[in-house]
Formats: sequence, C-alpha cells, structure tokens
Amino acid sequence: MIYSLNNHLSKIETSLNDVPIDVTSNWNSPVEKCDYYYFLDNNSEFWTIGFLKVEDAHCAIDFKSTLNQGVKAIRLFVSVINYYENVYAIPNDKGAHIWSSLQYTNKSLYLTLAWRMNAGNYCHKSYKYLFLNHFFKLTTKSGILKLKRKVYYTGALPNTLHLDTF
Amino acid sequence: MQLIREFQKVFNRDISSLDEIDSIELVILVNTLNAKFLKSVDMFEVIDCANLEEINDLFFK
Repeated sequence: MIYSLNNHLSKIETSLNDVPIDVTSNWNSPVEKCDYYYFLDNNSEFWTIGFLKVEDAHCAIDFKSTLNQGVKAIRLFVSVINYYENVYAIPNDKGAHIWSSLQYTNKSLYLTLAWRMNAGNYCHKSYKYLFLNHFFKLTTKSGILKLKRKVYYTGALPNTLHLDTF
Repeated sequence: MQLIREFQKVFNRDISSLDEIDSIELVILVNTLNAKFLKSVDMFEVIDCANLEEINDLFFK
C-alpha cells in the first residue's frame, strides 16, 4: 500500500503513478511487500518512510526527509509509527538519533550463522544480501560478530531480522 | 534568545525560525541541551511546539 499524508497527518491511499520520482527513488523494497508513506510540501520537499512486514512486526525502512522543518518531520515520524503495534528499525547513525531521542527501546545486534533455505531478498536495489540471507541472520542474542548498529523497537521483535532491511 | 545561541554553538550556523532546523539537528540539539543543562525535556514535548520561543521556554524558563 502507498499512502500520502496531508497537513493534518491523516493518510490517503494512493497509487505508485501519483508519487513523484524524487520520492520513489528512495524506496528500496518492492511496494507490494511494504506500506510506504510520503508527505510533499509546497516547495516539493518531501518526507517518506516504508514498513516491511516481517512476521507480526513491521520493519521501518527507507526513511528520508528533505524537509527543513525538523519538528514537522518528527511529528510525521511519530504519527506514522503509531499506526503499527510492533515496529522496529536498524537505523544508520543519523536515524538512530531520532529513535533514541524518542526513547524507543534498543538492543545490540549480532551476526550469527543460520542456514535458511527460503531466505528472501527484501531490498530490490541490492542483491548482495540474497546470498548472505541464506547463511546469516541478525539476532539480539550473543553471536559471532557484534555490529555497530542497534535495533530500535516498540512492541515485540520478530524471530528473524533480515540483513537487507537496513 | 538563548536557544538560538546554543544552536549556533552546536552547529555554527545562524537561524531565525524553526523552519531552518532539520530533524537530525533538532534531536541532536535537544539531547545536547538536556545533557548540558541537566534537563529531561523529551521530544514529544518539543514536537508539540509551534515556534522557537516555545522550545526556548522548555529549556530556559
């Protein structure tokens, strides 16, 4: 599903054809597997985020904001996160500032060996993880390699954290 | 306004309105000011603010 957000932060279902290319160029996963949200302001600056369904949770992906208005961007962020019960993300350093400042729970991440026959690829712009997803998975329990990034979440985490969702 | 002076110290840039602060700058500023002034202003209070004066009051009044 694709949703456009208006100034009142209510969501309106829309189609891919209605979304500007500047926005969709930031979407790295197939839209049929995700809920994507976007907001456009009068100066064609935008804000967007996606949610990939993983088991009973939703993984926040592809967050991007060109809005100068920080308060507006964070207000949009909070309002969209609140649509979901179990949400998690493995943000980069900048994104981690937002999750951390909103006091979402965080845990360290470890890479661990795990053979999975049906491992998928969730990032359609990068296929390097198609191979890795078969042999490795991310876990919050101690594993072979501790990552610099942390997982931030609200609610419950799924059993499997995919490598190509951050 | 003290908030603007603190923003200039952290980011070495002048601002005159809330619209000139991006989301990452805002969260860094809030976390920095909380640590510096031993405050516990949370982001949910900040996102309810409409302008710099309101945010300034959260930290400095």
